[in-house]
Amino acid sequence: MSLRTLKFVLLGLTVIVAGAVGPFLPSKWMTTLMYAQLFAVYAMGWDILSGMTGQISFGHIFFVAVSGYTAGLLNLYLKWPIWATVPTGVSMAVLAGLLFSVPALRLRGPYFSLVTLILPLAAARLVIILADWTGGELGKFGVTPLCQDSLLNTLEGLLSRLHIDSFRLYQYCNYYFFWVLMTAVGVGLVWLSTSRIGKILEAIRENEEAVEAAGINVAKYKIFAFAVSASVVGLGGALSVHTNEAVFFNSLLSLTSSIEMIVASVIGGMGTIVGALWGGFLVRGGEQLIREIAQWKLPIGAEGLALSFLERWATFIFFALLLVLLFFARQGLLPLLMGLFRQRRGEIRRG
Amino acid sequence: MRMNRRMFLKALGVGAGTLTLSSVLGWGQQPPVKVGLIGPIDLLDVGRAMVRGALLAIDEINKLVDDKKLPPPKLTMDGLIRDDQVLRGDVARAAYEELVQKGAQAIVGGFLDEAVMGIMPSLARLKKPFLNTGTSGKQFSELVKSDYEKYKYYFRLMLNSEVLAQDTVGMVKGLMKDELGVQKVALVMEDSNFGRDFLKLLQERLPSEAGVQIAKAINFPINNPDFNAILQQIGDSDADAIIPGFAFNPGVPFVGQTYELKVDAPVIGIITEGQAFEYWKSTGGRVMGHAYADAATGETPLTPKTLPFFQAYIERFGGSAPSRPLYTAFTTYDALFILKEAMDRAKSTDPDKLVEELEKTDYVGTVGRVQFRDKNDIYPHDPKYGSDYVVAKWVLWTTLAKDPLKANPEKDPLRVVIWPKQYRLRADEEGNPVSIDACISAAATTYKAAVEDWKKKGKPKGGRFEAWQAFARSVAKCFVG
Amino acid sequence: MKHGRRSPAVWQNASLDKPVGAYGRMPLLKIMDQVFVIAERIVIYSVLISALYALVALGFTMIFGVGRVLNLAHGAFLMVGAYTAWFAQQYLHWNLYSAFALAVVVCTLLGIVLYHGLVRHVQRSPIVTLIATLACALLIEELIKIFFTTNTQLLAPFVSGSVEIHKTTVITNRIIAFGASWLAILLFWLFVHRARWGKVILATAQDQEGAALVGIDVKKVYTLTWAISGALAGIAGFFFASWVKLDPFMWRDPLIISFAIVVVGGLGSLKGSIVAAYLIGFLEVLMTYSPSVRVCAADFRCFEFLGSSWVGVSSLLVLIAILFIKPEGLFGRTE
Repeated sequence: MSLRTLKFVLLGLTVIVAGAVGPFLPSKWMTTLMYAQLFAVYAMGWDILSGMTGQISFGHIFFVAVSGYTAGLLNLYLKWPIWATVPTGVSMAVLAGLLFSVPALRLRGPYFSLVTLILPLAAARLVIILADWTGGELGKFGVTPLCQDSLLNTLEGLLSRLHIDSFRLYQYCNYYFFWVLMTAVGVGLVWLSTSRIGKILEAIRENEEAVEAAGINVAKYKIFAFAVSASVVGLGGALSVHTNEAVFFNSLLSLTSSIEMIVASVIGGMGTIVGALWGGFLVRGGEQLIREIAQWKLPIGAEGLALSFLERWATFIFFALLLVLLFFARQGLLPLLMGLFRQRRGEIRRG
Repeated sequence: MRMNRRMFLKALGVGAGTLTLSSVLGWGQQPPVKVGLIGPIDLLDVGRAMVRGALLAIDEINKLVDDKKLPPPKLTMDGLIRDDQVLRGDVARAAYEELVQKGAQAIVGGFLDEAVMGIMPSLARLKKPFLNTGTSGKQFSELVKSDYEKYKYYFRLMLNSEVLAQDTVGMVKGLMKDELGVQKVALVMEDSNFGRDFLKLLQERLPSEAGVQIAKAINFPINNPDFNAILQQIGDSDADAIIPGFAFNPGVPFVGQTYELKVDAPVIGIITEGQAFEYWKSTGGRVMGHAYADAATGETPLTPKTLPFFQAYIERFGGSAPSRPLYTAFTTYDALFILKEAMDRAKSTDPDKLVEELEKTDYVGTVGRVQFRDKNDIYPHDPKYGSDYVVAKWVLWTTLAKDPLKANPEKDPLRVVIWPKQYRLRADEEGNPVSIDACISAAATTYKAAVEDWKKKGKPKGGRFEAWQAFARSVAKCFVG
Repeated sequence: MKHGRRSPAVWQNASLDKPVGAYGRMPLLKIMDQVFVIAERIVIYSVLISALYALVALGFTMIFGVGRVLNLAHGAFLMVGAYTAWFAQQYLHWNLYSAFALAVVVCTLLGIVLYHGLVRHVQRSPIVTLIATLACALLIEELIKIFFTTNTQLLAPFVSGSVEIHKTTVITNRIIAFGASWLAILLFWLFVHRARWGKVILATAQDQEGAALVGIDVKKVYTLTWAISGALAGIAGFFFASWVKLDPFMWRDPLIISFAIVVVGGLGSLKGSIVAAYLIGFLEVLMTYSPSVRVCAADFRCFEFLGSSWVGVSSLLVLIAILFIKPEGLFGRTE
C-alpha cells in the first residue's frame, strides 16, 4: 500500500466514523465535536504550511480573523448573503497570506515565528481600536446563521417521518456542514501533500538549499503553501462566524487557539495532515472528556465518591498528558502507528 | 431492521421524556425542578460566589418547602453547574445546550458579556429562560427589544452600563460636588466595551448634568501594567477626584501605584474586582479610601434580607475565598427566589408561561426591590432603576487600624456604603438598620474644610491624600458606632 | 454621541478632552515648557522600564545563544520567582530580602531541573522543544491557579513611596528595580567576559562542535546556562511583580517582550538585546504621551489614531518593519 493510499484509507475511516456517530451523540458532544471538526480544519490548514515546510507559524489565527471579520462585517453592515461573504472572506485571507508570504520568505526559524506571533496581537489591538465597527472584544451579534430557518424547514419537511425536534435538527445541520467541510479539506490536503508539490514542500523542510540547487523555485512553492493554508483556515473562520451568528473576538483572535493548532498537529504527527485532523479531535475532545470525567461519581459509599477534585486539575492533567505524549511519541501519533504497523507486518512476514 | 430504526429514533428524541412529566404528575407533586448555572466557576471568585449564592438559595427554598412556607416543588441544581471558562462563547453555548438537554427548566449565571453572547442563539431556539446575574452590557436588552418573541427568555438582575453611568452622574453630583466640593474630575477607563461606553456617557453627561468639569480623560489598553505616567498626568491636570472604570483589568497595579504616589485625588468609581473582600489582601491594604460601585455589601442592611443572607453565607463559606459574598452571590441568590415565585404563580415550567410570570415579578431581594422593565421600555427585562428599586451602592474601603498596610486583612477591613444617602446605614445588635447619614455628612464637611486649607497652603504634595484617608477613617468610626 | 456630531473628522489631543486649539492660546514659552516636561518624562519613564525589559530578556537570549533553544517557559520562570517571593513573604512571613533570595534560588533550581528533566531529551527537535517548554509554562500556570487562585496580587516593594526627579514623580521601587537590573546585567557581562566559566560559555555559544573538540563538557555548560538563566529570571520576576502585579497569566507578557527583544536585537546578542529593550520601552512610553486623532465616519462611529490605546500595537508594528528590513535583527549574525 502506498503512503497516499494509506493516508486516504485512514482519512476515510476517520471521516466515516465522525459521520456515523453523529446521530448517537448527546447534544453537548454534538456541539463539542462540531467545534472539533472546525478546529481540525484549522489544524490541517496549519499543517500544510508549517508542518510541511517546517516554518512554525504561531499566528495562524490571524487568517481566521481576516476571513471571519470580513465575512461577518460584510454580512452585518452590507447584508451580503452567505454565498457572497464566505468567498470574499476567504479571498481576503488568501490575499493576506500572499501579502505576508513575500516578505516572510526572507525570515527563517524563530524570526518567522516571532513575526507570525505578532500579527494576531497587532490585529487584536486593531479590532479593539476599531471597536465601533467590530464590536471590540465583545463582538457583534446578528450574522446570518449558516442553517437558516428556510433550510431547516426544508429539512424538517424532508425528514418529517423521523420526528426530530427542531433544535436537534439545527444541530445536525451545523454538525454535518462542518463534517462536509472537514472531509473536503481533508481529501484536498491529503491529495496535495502526497502529490509532487507536497514532496517538494517536504524536501524544503529537510534541506532548502538542496531543493534550490535542483533548480526548483522554492519561493514559488512556499507562496503557494501560504495561499493554500490561508484559504483553508480562512474558510473555516468565515463559516464559523455564520455558525456562531456573531463575530466573536475570542474565537476569531485567541492566541490560545493558534497555539492549540500547533499542539494538535504535533500530537498527530507534523506534515501528515491526517495526523493534524486527529490532533484536532484529541485537543478539543480531550479537553471536554477530561472535564466530563471530573464529574463522574465512583460507586463508593452511599452517595458515590465524586471525582470533583479532578475538576481543578483537569487542565493540568491535559498538559501533563501532552508532555508525556511528546516524550514518548516525538514523531506524533500517526507516524508512531505507522511505525508499529510496519514493524508488525515485518514480523508477520518473517514469521 | 425495524428494531434498529426504533433505536435510532430513541437516540434522537432524548429530550421528549421530560416534557410530559408535569402533565402526568400535576404541579406540586413534581420531583424537584432542575435549574442550571453557567459561570466562570473554575477560574474566578465571582463565579464561585455565584455558585455559593445559588446553593444557599436552593437549600433555603427547599427548607421553606419542607416547612410548608412555600408550595412545592423543590428546586435542584445537582450536576447542573457548568463552567464557561470566563469568556469562551462557544463553551458557554455548549453548556447551555447541555443543561437544557439534562432537563434544566431555567438557567442562571453569566459573568462576562462574551460568554452570555454565545448563549443567545441557543436561547432563542431552546427557549429555557436565562437569568443573567453578572454582566452589564446593554446589547442583550437591545436584542430583546429588537426581536421580543425570539429573545424574551432573557432576563437580568444587574444594572446595565448605561444605567450605571447614569447612577455615577447622580453620585458625582450628590456626593462629589455637593458634599465633597469636587469641581474637576479625571476619568481613567480601560479600553474595553465597558470602559469605552462608560467614558463616552460620562463625557457627555458630567458637565451638563452634574456640573463637574472633566480635567483629563484616559483610555488605556486593558493589559496596561503601568499607571505611573497616567497618574502623573492626572496630578498635573489638577483634578479633584478620579473616576476609574475597570472591568477586565483587575486594578491592583492602579491601586498600588495611587498609594505609592500618594495621588492627591480620591478614587471613586468602578473596579469590578475591587468588590471582593479579598481585594484588601491583594493590594496589601493600599485600597484604603477607595470607593467602588457595588450591588450590596452585606454588612449594610439594605433590605430585611441582606443581613441574614450575609450571615448565612459567612457561616457556610467564610473559610475560603470569596469569604464574603460578591455581587454575583447576591444577584444569583435573588434570581432563584424570583424564579421560584414565578414558577409557583405559573404552576408550570412552560417557558412562555414562565416568562409571562417573570415579567410580573415584584420581589424585595437582598439588593433592593426587583421589578423587570416591560417590553416597551428601552431596556426590556432589565431591572427597574431608582431609589424605590435597584440602585448602585458606592462602597468605601476603610479600616479602624492606624496603618492600613499593617491591618489584619481577615478582620480589619470595613466596607461602608457612602452613597446613596438612604443606604448610609449600619446594623445594631438586633440587625436593625440605623442611619449614619449625619455622621458621614459631618466627616464630608471636615474633609471639605481640610481641602480648602490645603489649597490655601499651596497644595503641598500628599495633603489631600491624607485628608481623604482621615475621611475614610471617620466613616469607619461612624460605621462601627 | 456628542463626539460624532463634530464629525466627519474631529481632531483632538491625547487626552480626548481639550481640542488642539487650546494650546494655540498659550504663550509660546509655556508651550515649550510643557513640551520639555513631557520629553523629560518620556525619557525618564522609558529609561526605567527598559532596564527591566532588558533584564527580563537576558536569560532568554542566553539560552538561545548558547543552546539554540527557544525557552518558552522563560516567562513561567519569572512567574515562579515572583510567586515564591510573594509566598515566602505572605505565608512564611519572611522579610523581603530573604524572600528575594529564596526566589532566586528556586528559579535557579527550576532551570536546572527543566533542562535535565525535559529539554535535554527533546533538544534535537526544535519544534518539540518549543511545544514542550510551552506545555511546561502552561503546567506552571495551572499549578498556580490551583494553589493561589487567579486573583491578582501585589508584591510589596522594597521601599514604599515616591521621589521627585526634577519635575517628574517616580515610584521609588522603580529606581531600585532599575539599579538592580543594571547591576545584574553588568555582573552578567563581567562573568561572561572575565570569568573562566563565562569564557567557556561564550566559546560554546560560538561553536558547539569546536567547544566539544577542545574538551569542553558541553552538558555542563548547558546546565550552567540554564541555572544562570533561571537565576536572572528569578531576579527579573521579583522586580516585575513588584512593578506590575502577580497573577497566573503574568508569564505571557514577559515572554512576548523577551521574544521580541531578542529577535529584534539579533538572537544571542547581548548588546542587541539591550538596544532592543530600550527601543521597545521607549516606543511604549512614547505612545502613552502621543497625541491622538479621533476620526469619525458619517454614521458617528469613531476610532482613535495613535494615543494611549495604541500602546502595544505600535511597538509590535515597528518590530515587524525592522524584521522585514533587517531579517537577522539589529545585531544578529547571519547563519
